[in-house]
Amino acid sequence: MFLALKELRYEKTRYALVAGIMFLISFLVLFVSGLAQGLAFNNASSLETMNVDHFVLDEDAEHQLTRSLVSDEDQQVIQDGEVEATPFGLHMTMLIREEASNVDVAMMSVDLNSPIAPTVIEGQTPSEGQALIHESIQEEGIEIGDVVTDNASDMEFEVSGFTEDQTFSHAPIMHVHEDDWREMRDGEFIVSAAALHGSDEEAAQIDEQLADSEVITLDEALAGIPGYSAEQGSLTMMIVFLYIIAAFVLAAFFYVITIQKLNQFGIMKAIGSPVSVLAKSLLVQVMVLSAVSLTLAIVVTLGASQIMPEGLPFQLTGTMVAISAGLFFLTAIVGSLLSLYKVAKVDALEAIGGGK
Amino acid sequence: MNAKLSLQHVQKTFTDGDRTLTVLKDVSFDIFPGEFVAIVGPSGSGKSTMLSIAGALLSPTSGKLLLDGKNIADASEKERQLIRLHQIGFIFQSSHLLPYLTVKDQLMLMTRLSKESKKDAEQRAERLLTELGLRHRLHQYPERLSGGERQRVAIARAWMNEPDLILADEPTASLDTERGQHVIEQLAHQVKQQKRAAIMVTHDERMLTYCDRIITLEDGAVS
Repeated sequence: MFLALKELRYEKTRYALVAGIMFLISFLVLFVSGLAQGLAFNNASSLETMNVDHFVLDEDAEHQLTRSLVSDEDQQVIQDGEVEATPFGLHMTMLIREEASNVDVAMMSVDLNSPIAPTVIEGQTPSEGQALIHESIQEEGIEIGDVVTDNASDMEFEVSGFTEDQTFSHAPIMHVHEDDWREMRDGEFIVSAAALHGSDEEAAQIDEQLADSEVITLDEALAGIPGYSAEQGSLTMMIVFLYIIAAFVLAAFFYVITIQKLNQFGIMKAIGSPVSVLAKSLLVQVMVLSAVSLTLAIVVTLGASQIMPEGLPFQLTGTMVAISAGLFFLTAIVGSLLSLYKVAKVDALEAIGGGK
Repeated sequence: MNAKLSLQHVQKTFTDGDRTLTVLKDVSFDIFPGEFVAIVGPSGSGKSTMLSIAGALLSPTSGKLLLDGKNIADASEKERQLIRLHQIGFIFQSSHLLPYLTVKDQLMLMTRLSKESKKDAEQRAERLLTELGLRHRLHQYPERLSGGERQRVAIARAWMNEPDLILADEPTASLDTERGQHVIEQLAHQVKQQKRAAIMVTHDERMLTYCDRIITLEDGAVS
């Protein structure tokens, strides 16, 4: 600690530069992580807020909720099963408006007393002929009391209220009354999928009994949403690369600094310093620089998230910050391994110019 | 009186590709407490190798190396590190101070490495620096010091852990005559006063007047 801190204080400019780079990279990591998480939530907040781990889907739907149609037989299996399940209908459609652009929505029908019912933040639950839509629809100029027309069924709905965290495939979800859902399909309630409120074992049990359907996990359902994997994949790749770049940049910086100080390390060894003291000193410096730049990056990221425009999907949970910080620390330490090796190998004799 | 340092038939060979290079053929001498010995000899005579062996930086190929009566010729790397830390004080051609430590911290570093109590050490550091005329430089960084002052700090650092043996490798090489003499005078004074042993490799004949004895190395042997 003694050597590490004294040196950091003495060589302020040099280490401030290193900390600056580390700050920028960790800021970028946090920002992209927040964006990835925000986009994921924005894409499918309805699934994430349902708080269930399993869904029953048509086997042929390839994990796509909007493509799925659960057979009557399997609906019976779900109903008779010991696990509590909530069937729901879901499809993508478009609202037609006169004198304004059309709006994509995901139309959904679910028992509004079930555990996966949406939270109404304004207005009230819909009765027949009404619709409850995600609050983001207000950006399109749609207010409570407005009448909207569904393009697929040509039915008209009066907006009864707004919900929060109800999106699917980046579109706001429009909840309609069960009777309206039936009317759209000639009186039959079409079940796209069912949310299972049970453990992994219970879900597996149901899965065995299903004829034409299967049980998939929340992650599989999310990955099944068109574009979800591509979106998350490219952002994840950016994050992974940022960590790799961070490791390389830090490795290069510390290596150059270490090479510059080889003579000093040699002298230290000659006057009797154990290698452990030198290694510890280097590690403490890496840790201190990481801690300072990470703290700064976290503060700046959280600050930036406060002044970001409303529409920008950005979400950074405490867990995410903790994981990113931990990974970044690890990256910094990995980056300093090369330097540590160099320090361990320093020849005291070469440093003092004697011996050969 | 027992010798502080005793080299007995020390031989050192290096392998350079296929060739074997014998740098030290058969070197034997004793250094007693309170003695300040100069080692002279042409370049390539093995002075630096001899000093590195005496300083536990290198192990001899054969022969005995007694420090305070204990043979350290075959000591392990860890043992040699501890010997260097506690029993030997090094003074190099240039001062080799750490640029980011103040004069006092250069000395306190030695204490920290040997895990001694801080309070005694602070007093000793201040006393040493005062004796070497550096009292007013205690809290300054090496870059603010003159060459002579830096070398005196290096001497103080070498004394800090109260070693049995001081090894100086051309300590005046980077100083002008007057400063060089002043530095060596102080080194000689400390050796006498504290009954330590010191070896100085030098090319500078004017410095020999401060030494008790001169050992001449030629072609890897004492002549």
